[in-house]
Amino acid sequence: MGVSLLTEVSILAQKANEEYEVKAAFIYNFFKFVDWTNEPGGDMVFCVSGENPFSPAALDSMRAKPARGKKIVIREIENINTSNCAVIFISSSEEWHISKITREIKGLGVLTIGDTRGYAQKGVMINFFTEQNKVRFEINPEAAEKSGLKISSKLLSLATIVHEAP
Amino acid sequence: MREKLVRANKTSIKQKLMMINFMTVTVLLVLLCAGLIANEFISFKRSSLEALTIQAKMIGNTSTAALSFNDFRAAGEILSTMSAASNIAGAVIYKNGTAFARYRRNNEAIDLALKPSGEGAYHFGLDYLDMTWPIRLDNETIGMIVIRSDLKDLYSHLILYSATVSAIMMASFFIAFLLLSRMQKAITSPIFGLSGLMRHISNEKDYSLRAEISGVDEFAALAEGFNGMLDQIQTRDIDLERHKETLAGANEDLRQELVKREEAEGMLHRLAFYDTLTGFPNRNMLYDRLLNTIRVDEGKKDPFAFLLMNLDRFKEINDTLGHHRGDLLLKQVGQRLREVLWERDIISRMGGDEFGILLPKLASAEHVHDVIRKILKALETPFIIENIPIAVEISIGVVLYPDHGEDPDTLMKRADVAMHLAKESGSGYFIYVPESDQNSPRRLALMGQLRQAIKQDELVLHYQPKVDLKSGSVVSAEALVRWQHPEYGIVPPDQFIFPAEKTGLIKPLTLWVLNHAIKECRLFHNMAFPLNMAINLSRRNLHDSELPGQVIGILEACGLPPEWITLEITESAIMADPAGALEILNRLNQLGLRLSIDDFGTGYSSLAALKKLPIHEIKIDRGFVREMTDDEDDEVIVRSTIDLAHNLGLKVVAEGVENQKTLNRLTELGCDIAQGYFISRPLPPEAFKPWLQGSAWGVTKGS
Repeated sequence: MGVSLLTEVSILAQKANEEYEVKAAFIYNFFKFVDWTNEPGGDMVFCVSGENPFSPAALDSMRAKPARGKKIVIREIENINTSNCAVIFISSSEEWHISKITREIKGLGVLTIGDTRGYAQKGVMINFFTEQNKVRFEINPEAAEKSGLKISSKLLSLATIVHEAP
Repeated sequence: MREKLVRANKTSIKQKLMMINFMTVTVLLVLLCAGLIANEFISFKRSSLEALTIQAKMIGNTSTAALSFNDFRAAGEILSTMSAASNIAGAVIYKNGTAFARYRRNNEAIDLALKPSGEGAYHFGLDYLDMTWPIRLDNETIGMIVIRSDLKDLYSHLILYSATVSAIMMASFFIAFLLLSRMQKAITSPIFGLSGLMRHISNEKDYSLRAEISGVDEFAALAEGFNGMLDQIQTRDIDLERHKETLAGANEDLRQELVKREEAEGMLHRLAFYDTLTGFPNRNMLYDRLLNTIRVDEGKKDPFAFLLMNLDRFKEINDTLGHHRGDLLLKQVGQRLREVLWERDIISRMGGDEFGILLPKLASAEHVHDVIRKILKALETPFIIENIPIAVEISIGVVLYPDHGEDPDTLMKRADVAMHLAKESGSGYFIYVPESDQNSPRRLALMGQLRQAIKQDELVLHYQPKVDLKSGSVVSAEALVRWQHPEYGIVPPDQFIFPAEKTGLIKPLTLWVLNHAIKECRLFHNMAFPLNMAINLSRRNLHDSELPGQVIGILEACGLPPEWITLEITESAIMADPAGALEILNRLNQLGLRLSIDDFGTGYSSLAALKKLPIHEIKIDRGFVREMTDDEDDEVIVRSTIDLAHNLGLKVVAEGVENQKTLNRLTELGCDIAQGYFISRPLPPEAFKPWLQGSAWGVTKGS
């Protein structure tokens, strides 16, 4: 029984790794379909807020190639300190004060990404979800707009559009 | 008919222009049409390519997100938006070399095994166009899109376009043709006008017409040039007419000139072949006639005779009476000849006083004698030239073809020889004998030898007795000289006497004869034969003033009275120079010598001249005597001569008595003396005396 359980755990872990590799590739592509009104000079800084779910390999693949002609830099942040961050991945560990986070970030011109159900309704701009074993994403265009970000219609056409809950 | 021709011509030039127009327009329009269609095809293809490129770009651009996020569905949806473009038959999006999304129009079963090739690469198939375009995102090629467009639209467009263009072209063609036809008239009608005018002018020869000149183009210049040309032609035509008239005049002049020339040529011909004085053929023509007669004969050798005749003493007549009268005399001689000769006989004046007579178709050689006698008779009567009577003597040389020659040159040369012999002999005529000139070297030799012969007494006298017809006795003898040549034997007198006359040997010869004859006469007398001796004198002797003295000298030396000697002189010798002869004859007569005219009847002496001569007798030529019993004319001549002589108190001697009948007739006619073979031929001295002694004829014996 013990053996069987172990095997099952390792399979799950591998599955989780693969999922975040896809998500990392997606995030890399998001750089190309989003326009920052006040695009930060220097590197494109990708910040991970909360518990980091990305494997080192996934992060490496993300920063292997430049995007928008800029080097991608990855940073894990404790507090919501948005300084220098172009994109913030808000981990599901931060679900408990997500509304507070989105409120603080709003208007700072930072693209917010998450992968927790309900995030989009709570002001996160792009939120991953899995459907039929496929990684998909939903977009809250109003939130992006409020932050001075313009999301490409091409990207929008692939996403599920979500509006903030009143 | 003419109008038709004109029309045909018009159609022809029209057709040519039409053809040119038609060809030009057709070629231009077809080229234009083809060019337009080709251009349309190319530009349509280009625009198709451009449109497809745009579509590919758009689709590619639109599908970047779907491709980035591996969203097949979204990509498929994007591709399916192409169903709005009817030309797109299908499309495929490739990612990393594998097909990512596909689109097929109306699910058509077309092959969409499209493969991505280079960026912007395209491929035109027969009815499709494939275009490959890269899908790029953020300077990175993230995929490829391949789009196929079918070309049905292109073709249907081209068909429609071609139809439209063709329709426009056809319309343009007809319009161009119409316009060209109209404009062509502007070119052809002036040409037709000019050519019509030209034809009219050439038909009617009316050079006063002119072409109308309108405008200032080349046709006007042509018409102007044409009119200028007509001006010149008209001027020349007028000139030509004038020249024609002048030429006609000149032509007439020329014609007259030609007539004159023909006349002159005729004259020249006459001059060349006819004698202007007598109108007879001249020597040239006679020569031709001789040649012709010989040719026509063609070797049959039919005999003909050629007579060459000239007048004796003509020079003297000319000198004393003048050339004018001489010419008149020649003319009359010619007339008389013409009168007595046959039409076919040809009389020619050979030059000077020389006449040639061709007697073709001579029946026989003997006939020529008759002709000659006729001629002699015809010329016997003296001619009256401007009231002056002129007696002429002639000499005729006769040659017979083919005996004496077979070509004109020989015949004429030998006739000349014969004529001169006739003149030398004073015989009136001479028929050529080969000896006449074949022996001329011999004759020359003889002349050389004659002098010796006279010295060496090679000569001998023969005697022919004469009988008195009343008494029947021999009263006289004629001494006839013979040459006993040591080589040739007896040489006939005519072979040395005539030449001797020419060379001057006649003087010693005559002297020799006189000497011997008178001596012989003396001997006869001594032998009691008192004969009268007749001695012949030559015409030359009549000019020898020494002669009378010499004769008297001999007579005295011999002691013979002059009355026993009779000197015989031929009638022609006297008539050759009657005045000169008369002088000598008078002296001889005064010396007491008897004088006799020999060969009387052949010299045509005028009666008046005869009366003046101091002669005692005449001898009738043997020619008349020989035939007098057969020929009445001859008898008349003989009788009238006897009567005439007797009236003048002259004795008459008849020569050539060859038979009893003639002798009897002569006796009846009262002829005094007869001589001839009937009595005796000439005998050598040694035979003469026996003959005298033994003769039946009596001899008057003297003391």
